[in-house]
Amino acid sequence: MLTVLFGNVLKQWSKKLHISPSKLYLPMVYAVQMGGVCTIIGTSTNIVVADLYQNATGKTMNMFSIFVPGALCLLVGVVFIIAIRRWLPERQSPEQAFETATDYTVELLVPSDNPNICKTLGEAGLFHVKGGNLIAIRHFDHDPSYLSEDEFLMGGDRLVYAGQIDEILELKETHNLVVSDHHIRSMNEINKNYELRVAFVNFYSKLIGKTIGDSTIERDNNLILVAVARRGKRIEAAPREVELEAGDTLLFECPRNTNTYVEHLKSMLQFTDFQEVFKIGPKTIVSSLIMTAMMILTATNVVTLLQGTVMAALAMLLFRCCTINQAMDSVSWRALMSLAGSIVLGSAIAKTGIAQKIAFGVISLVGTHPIMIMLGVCLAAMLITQLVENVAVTAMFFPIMYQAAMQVGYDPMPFLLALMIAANASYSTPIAASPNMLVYGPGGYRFTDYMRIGIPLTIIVTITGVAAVILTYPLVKL
Amino acid sequence: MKDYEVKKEGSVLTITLGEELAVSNAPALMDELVSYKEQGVEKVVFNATDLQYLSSSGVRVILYCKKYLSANSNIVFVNCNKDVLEVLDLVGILPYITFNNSSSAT
Repeated sequence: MLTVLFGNVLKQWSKKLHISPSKLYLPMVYAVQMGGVCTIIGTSTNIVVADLYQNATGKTMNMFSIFVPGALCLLVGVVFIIAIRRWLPERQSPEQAFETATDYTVELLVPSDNPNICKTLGEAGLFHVKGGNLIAIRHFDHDPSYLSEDEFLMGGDRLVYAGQIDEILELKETHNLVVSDHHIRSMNEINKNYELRVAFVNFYSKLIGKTIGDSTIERDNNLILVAVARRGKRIEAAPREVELEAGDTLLFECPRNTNTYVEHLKSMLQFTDFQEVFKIGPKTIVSSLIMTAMMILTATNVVTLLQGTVMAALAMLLFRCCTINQAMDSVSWRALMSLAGSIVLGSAIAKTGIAQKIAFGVISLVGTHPIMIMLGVCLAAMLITQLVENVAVTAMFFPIMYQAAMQVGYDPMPFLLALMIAANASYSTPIAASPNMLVYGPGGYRFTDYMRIGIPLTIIVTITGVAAVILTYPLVKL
Repeated sequence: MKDYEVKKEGSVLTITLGEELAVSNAPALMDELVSYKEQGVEKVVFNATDLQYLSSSGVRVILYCKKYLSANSNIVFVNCNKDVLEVLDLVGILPYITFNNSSSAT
């Protein structure tokens, strides 16, 4: 949520400061993730650790148990990012790319009432166009025609241009062309109240390997595909015929104020315009007060974490900070199922004895020194969390860390706090954490950009986290 | 396979079409029509009595006639069926064609 909130602000800052948004997005998501580690409810990983800890020991973790080590990691991480700011990737965002690049394809339809019908492409001024080239013409029966300026223009023709988007889209106005997934007989059918939106194909999108022409996404969501761009490569095909890959950026036309943040659309495409701009008003103060009260009550152990969060949620509804429908819509059932599944996985690993066996394996590998055990498990969790969801890694490693600590006779609490930091340190790949993925498209990043900055950051944060936990919570024998 | 016939009588060029005017025969017809360019054709009549299917290649032939053969843009279709009419409507050339239901209209 914070990533989405700050995304829009950073986009505006980058414009004001005349720097690429990619210089800001990655530090922002890293800071958001590192900041989240500072409280028990800051990340889903922390919530899972706290819950599994309560199940295993009957004790509850305090809201701010992880604050000092988390804050130290945040401080070190921020200092590291500032120190290496010159090496932050400078990439062109999709919006900039669509504005300036010359290698994007746009498909324009000739409506049946176009005044240039019966003229040749050359006569109609549609062969040589400003800012681009005509690369293909497809007639209504998809008969690909030999590309010549003497080719006749017919209603139903689809003209595929490569070039600068803004220049090519001007042809819509000057030559009565339209962007549409279906045939248009008359220009009067066109709703002029449309706007352009940029979206990017998610890593786990159902659209990967498919073409927009084969999917029903346009019809189902009232979207019209205008163009497709793929970093560094020219796409020699009409946009609707491009087999999509993760990271492809798509330019859509859609009615103004279309809500593109609906769950089924979010699972396929990520719209980069960060439309969720939140208004600051009296309700902001009320919700902030509720949040602060919840923090204080749980930190001082007046109420448990579960009681605190439920009371805060009810207070938010009572003071109309949001409606029940808004609250229900904001629930990510996928994330919830993932959380529940992870807890089941953790229990299964513990109850089947797998955790104990692995814990023995860890001890035989790194020895019985508690710091070595803590560091060994944390490094393993840190490695795996770069490729697997943080929550699942936590669920897998919680019982191992717990058992390992118990085997050597130490209080498992500091070990688990160190695990929280390691499992959250997922900075090295865009697929490691959802905030990383959220800025991949808008920032115009490459996969390796995350590795270059993320690998050293992950190592630094994990080692700092382990050291900070040991300093904050001296390891004590049970 | 040549399934059309082209006949010029005075300033009227009559093209009697077979069952289809598509990529299989349209280019050949187009080549034949080139020879009638600047031959004083004022009216082109398409006898579409047997025509069942018209593709974009066929539409290209009609547009060629309109642009290069018929000086006054005088194109007539005779006995045009509904499917062919729909294609002509889709490609937006209905306003440029006169329709008759009998060959006597030529």
